[in-house]
Amino acid sequence: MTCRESTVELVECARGGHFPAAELQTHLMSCSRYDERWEDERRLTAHFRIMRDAVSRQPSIAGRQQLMREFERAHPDGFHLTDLWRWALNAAAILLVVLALVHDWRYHRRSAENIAQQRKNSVGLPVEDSAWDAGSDEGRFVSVPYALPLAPGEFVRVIRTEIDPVALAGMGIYIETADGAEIPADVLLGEDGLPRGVRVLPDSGFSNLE
Amino acid sequence: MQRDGRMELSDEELYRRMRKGDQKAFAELYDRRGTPLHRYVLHISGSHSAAEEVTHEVFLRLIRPDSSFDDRRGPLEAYLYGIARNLVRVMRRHQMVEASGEPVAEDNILGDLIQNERTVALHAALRELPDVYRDAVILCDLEERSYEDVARLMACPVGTIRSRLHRARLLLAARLKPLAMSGVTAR
Repeated sequence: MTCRESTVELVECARGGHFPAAELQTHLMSCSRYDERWEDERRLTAHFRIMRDAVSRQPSIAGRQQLMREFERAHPDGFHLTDLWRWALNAAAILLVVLALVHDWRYHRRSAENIAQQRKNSVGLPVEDSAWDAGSDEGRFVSVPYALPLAPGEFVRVIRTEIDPVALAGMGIYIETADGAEIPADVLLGEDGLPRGVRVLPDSGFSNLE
Repeated sequence: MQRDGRMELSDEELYRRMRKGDQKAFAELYDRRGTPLHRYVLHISGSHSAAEEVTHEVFLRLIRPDSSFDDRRGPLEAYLYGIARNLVRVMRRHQMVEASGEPVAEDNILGDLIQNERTVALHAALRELPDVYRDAVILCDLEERSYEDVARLMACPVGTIRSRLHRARLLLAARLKPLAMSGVTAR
């Protein structure tokens, strides 16, 4: 190892406060110039330690407080935690309103779609075109007594259900059943959902004895 | 970066926040960088009052609307040290800080803290070094920062910092040698 090569390691050892490796120590013993340098470097490190300890002071508290006052003066409408909370709450309130509006709009749209779908699934014809007036006696709707008549052009809906023969008899439809079983029939409902007419299904196996 | 289980913001992020008026960010930045900066100025000026004044002025400049820091040009810390260095230079020019290394009034660190004559001489010699050598010694040996850290601050390669430090130590050792030979010893 040459003196030049050893210098870097020598300085780093002195800085770190540890002894050089065996190879460098051998070199130091054989080279008075670099032994002297080693001592110089160690002395420097020791002095630096003293200097470090001497200047461990911090800037004054008063200086810090003055800077903070200067900062407040420079930013009178500064950003404080309370501002952050105010912004957060405002944003949350706006978000809630938007969500409520979106939810309301979606609810109404769905309701409108359901009504439209129901109409589509119903007979979906104005009363004059419906089975009300159509065809022969068989399959004709019999009007429900005391029910309001359908308005012209009113949409109607037909549901299929089973009706007690006694109820049918009240409407003037007499059907005999062996064991008083309910009779399958279509019920015509007006737009208000009230029954307007009843039709006994032709293939129900019962005969209309009106 | 994390400290004490919470995210530690970078200097540059703190700067951005303080520019928007976040005082907490400014306080954190000051608490993080104020003390090392104060020590650095103390080393290069040798005066507590100068260190206090320069540190204050550096942070005051950050607050001002015309602060010229641009993070694309380097880290904030390097900017702070750069301003401090220039301010000390200006003060020296106005002879507010004595560049010769002689004691500056009663607040000089030579008088109140350093009791060793050779250390006093070393401190004077340090202040007479060219800036780049002096900064390498202060940051690497007195502030005990890594070569990589100092290289980032000085915007130069690690090898350059190492060679500057070694050269500076050689110069300082040469300045100390006459004292050592004349038999002045540490108390």
